Amino acid sequence: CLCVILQLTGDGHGGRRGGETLKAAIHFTVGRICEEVGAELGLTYHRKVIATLSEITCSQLEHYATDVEAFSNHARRTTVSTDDVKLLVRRNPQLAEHIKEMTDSMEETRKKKGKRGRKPKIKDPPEDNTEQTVIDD
Amino acid sequence: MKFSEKLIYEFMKFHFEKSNTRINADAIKLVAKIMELVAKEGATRAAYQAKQEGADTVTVEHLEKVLAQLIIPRLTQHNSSVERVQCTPELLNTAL
Repeated sequence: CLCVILQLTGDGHGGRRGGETLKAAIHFTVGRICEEVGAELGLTYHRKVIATLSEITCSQLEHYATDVEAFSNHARRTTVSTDDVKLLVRRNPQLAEHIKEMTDSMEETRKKKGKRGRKPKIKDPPEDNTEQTVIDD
Repeated sequence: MKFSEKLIYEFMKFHFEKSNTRINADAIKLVAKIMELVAKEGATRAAYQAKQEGADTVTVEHLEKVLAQLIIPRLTQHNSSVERVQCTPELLNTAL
């Protein structure tokens, strides 16, 4: 199960060994995506194709991680934001447009939540969506 | 099938050069979507290549033929017709 794999990754962070578990999890997801595409088009994928695609995905994600970190570092931030991600995809117009739409819809839902929260509960502080962090260790 | 957000977070954290770099929850969702599209685009392009050749299984040869368009980023943005060929809306819609 994917959850078990990820839990193991969380515990064994000593050394670069955790990287293999992450790659395995990516491989699993890419395999499922290939299954879906194959089902739609009536094709099957050879095992080596899935392995190669997951290698490509891993190396792309690695590049994106270092790039996006560099962007946020350049903006003198320690937290990667959606603006950094938007900068990442600027060269692909369709992808950039799609990401922009996702960002706008996320902002809208966040504003709606903020408005609902502000009026009835005065004691709660307003939501600050500039620097949000996810899972803290 | 989507990429798990926890997976994306752990993977990126693993490859960050600075240990104090964090990532916004929304940014993780976006990166997860991007990686899903990367994988889908690769799978779809290879599948189209296989279909063109009349095969019923996608092999590494099919993938190799589409690898260049997949990996090499677009160098210029002037020629809009070139862009349309490289990443057609239908291809992206299939991927989406």
